[in-house]
Amino acid sequence: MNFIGVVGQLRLLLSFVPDTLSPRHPVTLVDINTGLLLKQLFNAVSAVSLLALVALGLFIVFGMMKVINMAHGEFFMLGAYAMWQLLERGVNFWVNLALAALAVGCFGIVLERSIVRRLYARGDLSTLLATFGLSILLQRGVAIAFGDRPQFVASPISGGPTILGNTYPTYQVLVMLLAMAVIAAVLILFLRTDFGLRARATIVNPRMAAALGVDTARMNALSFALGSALAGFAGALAAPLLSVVPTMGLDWVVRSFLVVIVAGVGSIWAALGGAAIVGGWETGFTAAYDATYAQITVLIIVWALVLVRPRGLFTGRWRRGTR
Amino acid sequence: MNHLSRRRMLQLGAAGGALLASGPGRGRLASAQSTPAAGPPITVGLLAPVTGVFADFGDLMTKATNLAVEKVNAEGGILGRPLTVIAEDDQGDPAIATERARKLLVQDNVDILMGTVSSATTLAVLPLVDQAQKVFFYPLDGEDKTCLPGGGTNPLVFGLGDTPQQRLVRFVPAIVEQAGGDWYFIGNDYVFPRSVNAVAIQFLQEAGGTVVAEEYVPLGTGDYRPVIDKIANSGASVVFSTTVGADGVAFTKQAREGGLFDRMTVTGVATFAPEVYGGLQGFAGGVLTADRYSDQIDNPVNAEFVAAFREAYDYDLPIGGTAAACYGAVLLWREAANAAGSFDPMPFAEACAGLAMTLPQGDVEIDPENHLLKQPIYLLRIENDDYVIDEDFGQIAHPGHEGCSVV
Amino acid sequence: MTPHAGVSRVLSAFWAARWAVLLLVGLALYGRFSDPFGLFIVSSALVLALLALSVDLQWGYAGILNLGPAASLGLGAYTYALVQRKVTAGSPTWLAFGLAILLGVALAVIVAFPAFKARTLPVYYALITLAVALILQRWTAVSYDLTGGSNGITGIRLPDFSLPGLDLKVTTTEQFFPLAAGAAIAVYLGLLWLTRSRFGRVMAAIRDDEEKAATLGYDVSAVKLAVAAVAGGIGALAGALYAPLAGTAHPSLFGIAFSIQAFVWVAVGGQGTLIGPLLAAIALKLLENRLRDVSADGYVMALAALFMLAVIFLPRGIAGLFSDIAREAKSRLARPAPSVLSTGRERPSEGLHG
Repeated sequence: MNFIGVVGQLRLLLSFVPDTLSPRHPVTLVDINTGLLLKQLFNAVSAVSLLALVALGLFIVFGMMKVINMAHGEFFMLGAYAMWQLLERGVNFWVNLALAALAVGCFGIVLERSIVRRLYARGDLSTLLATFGLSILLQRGVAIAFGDRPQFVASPISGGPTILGNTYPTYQVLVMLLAMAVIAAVLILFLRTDFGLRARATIVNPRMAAALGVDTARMNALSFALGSALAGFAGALAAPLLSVVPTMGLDWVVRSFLVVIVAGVGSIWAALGGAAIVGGWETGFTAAYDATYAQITVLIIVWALVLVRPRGLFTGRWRRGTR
Repeated sequence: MNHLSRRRMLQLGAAGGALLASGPGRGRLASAQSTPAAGPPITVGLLAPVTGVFADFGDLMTKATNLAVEKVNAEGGILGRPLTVIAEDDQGDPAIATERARKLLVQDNVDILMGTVSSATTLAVLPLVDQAQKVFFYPLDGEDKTCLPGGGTNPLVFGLGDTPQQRLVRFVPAIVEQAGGDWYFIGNDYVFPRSVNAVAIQFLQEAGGTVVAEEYVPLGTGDYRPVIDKIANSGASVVFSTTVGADGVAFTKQAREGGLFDRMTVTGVATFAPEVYGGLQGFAGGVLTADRYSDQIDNPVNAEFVAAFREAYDYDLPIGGTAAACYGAVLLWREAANAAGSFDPMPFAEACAGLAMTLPQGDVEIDPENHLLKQPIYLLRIENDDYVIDEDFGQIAHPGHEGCSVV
Repeated sequence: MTPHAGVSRVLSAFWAARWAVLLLVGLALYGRFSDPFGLFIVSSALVLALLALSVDLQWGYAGILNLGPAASLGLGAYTYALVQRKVTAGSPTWLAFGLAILLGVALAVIVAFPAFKARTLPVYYALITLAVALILQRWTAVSYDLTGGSNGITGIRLPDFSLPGLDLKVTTTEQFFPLAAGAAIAVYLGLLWLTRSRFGRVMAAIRDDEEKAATLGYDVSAVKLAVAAVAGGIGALAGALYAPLAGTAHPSLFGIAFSIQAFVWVAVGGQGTLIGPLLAAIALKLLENRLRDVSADGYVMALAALFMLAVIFLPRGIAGLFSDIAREAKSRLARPAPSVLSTGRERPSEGLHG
């Protein structure tokens, strides 16, 4: 298979890296089989769909308001904590998914109206810094409230079918499908509805949109709420798979940024493409070789991409300048 | 500064000595009497990460130390002097640890320092301890850190946790016998997992087993599924995990869901520590692990400790070795100070070396050769939210300064 | 030049440096009366304030947002530690400092040059710098033979500035205090001069309107590169001073915590004021030492909240607030370097929009 050929090349390349970085007993690839490849493909698609869901929220906020929300990962974390707290109180898991999204979305509106709104006018990078502060505030606040220890969230469904020797946990399959469904719903919202038209107009040219009668302030609040709700939903959905700790958002916000950087602020499809590249590379590289290298290389790739395509990989026309 | 603090310390020591000469209750009598302690207090500096990634460990350290200090004070203190604890939060970060340790050693001028969780913070504190000439106890398991860079034993430093050599020497052959010799090693990418695995691999090869693979994943990784499926399809019979904290919880959850537990024996250290059990719970059921302590150990010291700890803190999760070690440390100090007749660093440290007594984890002895605790190691099985003792490997010593990590 | 003009120039130079003189007097008094641990705390505040000054130069004066300033801090610390341990063990540490600053400049140029050449969006540049710091942190944590991995390097000795025939060895942390104070004040004065020079006015022009500055014929990417390089050198100097003071170098020096701390000091003290971050560093570090015992998490939260409030309501920090009040009341002596464009606005009213 072509995949194995590529892996072989990569391994050859990496064998020249100083030994200090490599484990002494590297993983051998002798028993690559169709079952494993299929399972790893599932892992990749599953990881990409969840990442796309989180990154889409960040992408909408960034595209719409040109605001980089560094607290996006904390919204993901809040979703997971909402799920845990509600489960502790005996609320049904599936109801919690909706409640977590709703709660984090409302929280997003409050934040937008109280803090983020004040920073649009400044237009510089203050939003990035203010939300940086907000992310620490939320993270440490949760740590004070519940401690830094991992909280226990069990899957609502255990077990799953075994195909070619590998188990496909039913809940993970559901997570993937639900993530895809929500992404599809957001796409429809953006591409097929009146709200979507206004939103896309605001993304492309906020002043023109305002002149044509789009209530940009309301659009901003709504899209911030939508972005937050998506992160909260993803956090609640992923809670049974992950460690629920106050710092869990960091991993997601960093990777979502990579997605947005790769995608640029062109079309909404670009965010999905970006997620496929970042998530796919990480999962594929981890599966084929090593997780540490997977994370270092993905950072280097994104860095290189930004230099080659400063406005994103999927943006057809570049607009020069920043204003 | 050194001069001043040293002089002040000597004065304090002399005061303690005078009190001892005039005061009642020497030696074992002190623990039996119940008159409240008087005289200038002995200050204990506790460097515990009560926030940050090691917060659970730090929290348990603080709780157990306070519990033991209360007990010792109620029983007359040490050499008739009460103990007071000054706690500082190192957040598991070496930069903060050096700053806070300096505060305890220089500003508070504590009589003894205990604490640190991660190896990096322990190692960062060591030069400060040398500079201040104070006695330092570290309660966590891990590589040998009581050695000196040029060889020999640091006279003022004591390690209460077991080393990988102690923990694994009997455990690895036992698992090979039970579950087979083809091992897959998976850990987080930092020094502790790598050094544990180096030791485990040595014992594995001595037991006739083979290493299928050794793999490391960065700390803070959320998705372990690609790695777990690699392990599942590797043909290994045992997976030995040294993923830690939140990562360990994520690994265990995903491994359980992905069917890894059905295909091979999952074991490891740190991943299944009682300190992180709150996040693992049912996911860790049936797992075999090695540890220096379980709250199920049957001895009177442990019975008293477990009962007092559960009551004082309303704590119903399994209690781990970190808490037991801190509790035991205070009891060790009382014994050593009584033997030395002084809490001055040098005579006190000399009395610590070779001290033998019963602590919550069983019969222990501070090895005079390397200042590490000779202690029992247990094969534990996680069952119904308890760490049940499957086998008691007996008291095991660390060989010399093998694997010393002070450079 | 008339004698009068000469005198007035000297006077105005003194006036410009008035804060440095006040700071020097304050630190000398503090050094005289403080206990050793207090000296250690203020020394580390002064050393880490250098990093804040490098952030202020980039963000406050040139409008460049480098979210990973700790990359140069860590690089400087590791360079000092490794050179001192493996190359110049026991001999003077000039080489360690020199190499640290050189590598700090080099790293900044490697990161900034292609990005500024490609005219990367400021937001992306911020994220690239964050990524670079993360890469370095991860790499030092797994590069076991060279950097000691996650355990870091411990037992780093204090610096030794001896020259042939002159013994200038720092042997205690108390002796480190004047070194830290000297370095902070020297860098402060250096940056004060830089930001008030013609170069400083070009910087301000680029911050206010990059396009317009380019249209006027300024080589925008060269100026920004120079700013990044100077900042990288200062950050690495901070690291090379911090490593021996703390006695350890470890991967978390590259981490977000140190970067954020620098930003908090700049935001609270006042961006584009230089003296603000310096004073904020000392004040907040002393406050932190008191509050840490109460609740470390609570302290961090309070700091984050203060940071947010400063960013939202006091874009020029507390120093900016005071200088605004002072300006209302008095002459125009205290004004910041005017932009060569003289647009009359402090900050652009819009940036990424449109």
